[in-house]
Amino acid sequence: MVLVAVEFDGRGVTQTALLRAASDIICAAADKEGNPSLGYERYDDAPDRVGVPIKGFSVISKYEIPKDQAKIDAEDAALPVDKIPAPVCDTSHYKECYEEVAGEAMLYEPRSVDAVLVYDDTLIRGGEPWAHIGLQAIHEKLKDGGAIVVNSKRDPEYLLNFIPPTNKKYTLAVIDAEGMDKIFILPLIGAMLKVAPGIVSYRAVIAAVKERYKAEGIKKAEVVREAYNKVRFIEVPPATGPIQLKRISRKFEEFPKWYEMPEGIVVFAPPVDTPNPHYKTDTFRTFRPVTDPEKCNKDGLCWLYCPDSARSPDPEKLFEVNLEYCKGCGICAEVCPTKAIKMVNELEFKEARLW
Amino acid sequence: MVRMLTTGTTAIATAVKHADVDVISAYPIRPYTGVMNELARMIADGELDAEYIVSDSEHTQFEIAKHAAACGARVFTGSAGIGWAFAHEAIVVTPTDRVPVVAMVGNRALDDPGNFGVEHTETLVVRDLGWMMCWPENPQEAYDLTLMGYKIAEDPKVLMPYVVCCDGNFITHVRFPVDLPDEETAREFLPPTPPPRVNVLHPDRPLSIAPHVDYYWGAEIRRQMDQAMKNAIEVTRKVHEEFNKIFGRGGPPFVEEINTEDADVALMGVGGMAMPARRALSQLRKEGIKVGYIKLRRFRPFATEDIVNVLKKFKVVAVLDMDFSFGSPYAGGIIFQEVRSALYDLSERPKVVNYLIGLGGREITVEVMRSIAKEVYDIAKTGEVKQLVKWVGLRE
Amino acid sequence: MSWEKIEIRTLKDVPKEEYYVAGHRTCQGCGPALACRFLAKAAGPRAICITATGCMYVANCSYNTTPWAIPWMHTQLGGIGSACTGAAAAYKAMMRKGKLKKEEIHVIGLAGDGGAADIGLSAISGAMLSGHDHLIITYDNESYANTGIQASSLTPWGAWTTFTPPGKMLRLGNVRVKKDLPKMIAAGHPNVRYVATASISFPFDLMTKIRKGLAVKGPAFIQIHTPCPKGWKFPPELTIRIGRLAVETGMWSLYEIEDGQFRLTFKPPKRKPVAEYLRLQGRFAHLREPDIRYLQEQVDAACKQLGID
Repeated sequence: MVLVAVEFDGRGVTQTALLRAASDIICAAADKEGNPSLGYERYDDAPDRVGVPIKGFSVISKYEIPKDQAKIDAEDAALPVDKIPAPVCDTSHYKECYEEVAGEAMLYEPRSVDAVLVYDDTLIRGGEPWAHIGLQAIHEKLKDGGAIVVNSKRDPEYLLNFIPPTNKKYTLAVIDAEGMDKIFILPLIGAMLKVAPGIVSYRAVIAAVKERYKAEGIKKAEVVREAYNKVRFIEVPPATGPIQLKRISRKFEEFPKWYEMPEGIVVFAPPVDTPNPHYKTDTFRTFRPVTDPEKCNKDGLCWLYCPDSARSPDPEKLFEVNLEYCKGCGICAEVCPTKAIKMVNELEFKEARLW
Repeated sequence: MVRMLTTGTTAIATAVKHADVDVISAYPIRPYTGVMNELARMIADGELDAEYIVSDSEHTQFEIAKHAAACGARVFTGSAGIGWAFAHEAIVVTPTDRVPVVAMVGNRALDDPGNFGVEHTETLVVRDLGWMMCWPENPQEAYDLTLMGYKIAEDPKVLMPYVVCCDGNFITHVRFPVDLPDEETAREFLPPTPPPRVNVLHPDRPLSIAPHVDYYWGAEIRRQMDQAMKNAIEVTRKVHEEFNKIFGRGGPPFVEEINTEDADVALMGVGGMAMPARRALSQLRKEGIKVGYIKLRRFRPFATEDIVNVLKKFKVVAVLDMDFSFGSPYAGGIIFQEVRSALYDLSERPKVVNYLIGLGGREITVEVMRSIAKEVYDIAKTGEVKQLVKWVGLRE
Repeated sequence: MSWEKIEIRTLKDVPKEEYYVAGHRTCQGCGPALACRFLAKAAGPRAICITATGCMYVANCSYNTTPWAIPWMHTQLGGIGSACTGAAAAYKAMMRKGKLKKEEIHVIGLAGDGGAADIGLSAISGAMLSGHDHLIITYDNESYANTGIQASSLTPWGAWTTFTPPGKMLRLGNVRVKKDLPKMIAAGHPNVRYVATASISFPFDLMTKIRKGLAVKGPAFIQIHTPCPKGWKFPPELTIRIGRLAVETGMWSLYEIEDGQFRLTFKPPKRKPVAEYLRLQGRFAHLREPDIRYLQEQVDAACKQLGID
């Protein structure tokens, strides 16, 4: 028996429903093959906040991964979606598989995943989900040899500038999912089937998608097929040499022991004017504010209206933004009366690398 | 049968819909809110006809439920953690008023500090009041136990409230494969209208419910409640049998033995922890280490005879408590103390040890279950208990 | 008082120090977070803040951390009134008896609309009555937001929430009318010397009112309208614009009641139609023309009564 899993990385509130939908589709596909599964969003990511990095998962237990899965999938993907065979539902090992996957049910995340589907390409920089944890790299849970599938208009080589090095090898795949369908999880799943075969079969996903979208089922299944056939990907070898990460995720064991903590659930206040050192909120950002000095009249409204106290009060510094904390909400750009602030995608800035 | 992937909260909402509940009182608190969201949606879409009251607090919720039930309606309410604690006054008088309220609790660690992770303490602390309590292992059981709950609570020999306790996140939020019956079959088992009873407010039969009393009356009223809880044991057995006949599942009513053949040693607990336990103990069995798991499906009423009969064959029983009881005997968990007390009179009784596990919502892995099982297996071998009460997974 | 003057009229008057610092897990564009930042600035370092469960608890402290540079404590969802009374009474007694040095310590209580208007209403009333020196602030984002957007008694008529979803049979969403909490507090507690409404889109007005509330002896109450991108369903950059529109359409009004005297602190020169405010928010997307007309009528009547028109 083998446990396989898919991770979905998105942004809170705007993409939470899509995280769930993708998990439901993968789990429904597993069900069509007779395999039990669990689907869930990471509990501590909720309450989800607008922009915060969040994760969802599908965890499947199968008896074995068919050795020729990739070949079967490729043959199926060459045909129109209504011409492929139905998935075979084999429940002969259901009971043991159920026991295996249920054994993982009291965990907040699977131990490792075979594929990471990234909904917003700025998330490849990593996500700091809550205080004390630090920055989690996009491949934190990925198995050696797994795949990262990114919804992006950029090239995989460009995206590699922002992904921290790791000792694992992985496939980096890119698909312009939002350009293909407004339910953009479908192209992501299609792309995943190509670069990470064996989690669920192509035909099981097609069957699940057809069922889920009813009258539009065939149309949506064709989107999956199209993505399967046009995903671009590169193989990323393991990094050599020491891996220096500026901010790394803290492990459970590094947290203080029970007798090292102050009594009475006490946390000491940060000094006045000092941002909270335990939680940097820059990974909320898809866009960052950029001030045009020609247009700025130093009225200070951008500083005034920032909910995150992320700007300097100094007009000579043009109320410089603290990029470790700015969430990219865009309020400053909105309230600026001279329209001196533009919101620019994070990946335009090479120094958006967090390692 | 409708096979779907769903959460404990959606499964329970479906049971509530099938039960044709008349009055629902809602108030948000993580992690049970999903059941109320789903019920609101069902009503807004015309799938269920019920009065749905957005309450101003949990105390209000439970008061609304109690009085709606007192007028004969079938009701549903619920809460979690500190919210359930806010409702305590209403929770106290619901069993005393002998109304069959059915509620759901999304088990959550009590404040302070706020923590959405699962702990069972918030429900266990009201174990003395007369609420029937059960713990599903997964969303499938959550549906089953809720539907059965109405039948048990409304039985004229019982008339006590009933709460279904779902581990926060693991049973409330995670989507599992479940088989839900259709409404028609569910209503074969549970008719939409509760059986008639005397203590209902209606002009056709004027009566006063709960007048003030003095010492001439109190003890007898308590004894009636005591009898109701004793009757609940037989009624629960009967309802499980009926459920099994119609749906082909349901398991033993109070306590289920998992992997116990030829085992001298058993772990015992409530709720979702049965899942990693099953896996761990299956693996260990293949490795020649036989340890069983005793799943306590229902904690109130505590079916002493059933539980003692199951436990007495073991040399060592390790109770896994996902709760705490500060300053208690041996500073152990709540279920540990009750199980020990239940076994006290046996001339040959198992050693009972305690593991405090998963506190604050900490994960429970197959590995943790394995290591507990091995440790307890060694206790049986050596006869030596190094630590009676152990905190698992603590940073120390 | 630790501030030179009460009134904050221009940017120059706004303290530059941050007592509510960066590094909290609130939404992009979070209205309540901005309210916290403003109230902390206005109050300064000689204040303690007690916050009831809600977004400004969980999102500020996620997890086991804090953005508050002043003393802070959590209290239960329904407890804000009692918490403030307890703290204020403690400082009062200890200072009077010489157990604590007599100096400026302001007690501020912060609760969301659920914690203030629903479960905590009774305790707030008690706090107003017992007369201790504190300022209770409600950040009104018109729902139980932290639990995923459920209806509170301050949720406006017609709004989507997960407890009031528009459906095939019940198409309107929330059919309860928003409670008027500040007027309830003022009308019901004649001893209370300062009750006010504010908005994060009018920060100078807000910060002045915070100082006025703290300066007055005895209990004070301020309700701040705080648009919420998650609950009201709008893109986060629009938070301030939507807050302004609420006031400019008359769906929210800015006033204070000082020693029983009612006074508007802002009058929109020409009131905009409510549709301008409603159409920017997804929570009202299901409303039809007759519904919007109904809301317009309600707002027109309320504004006439308040003297806004």
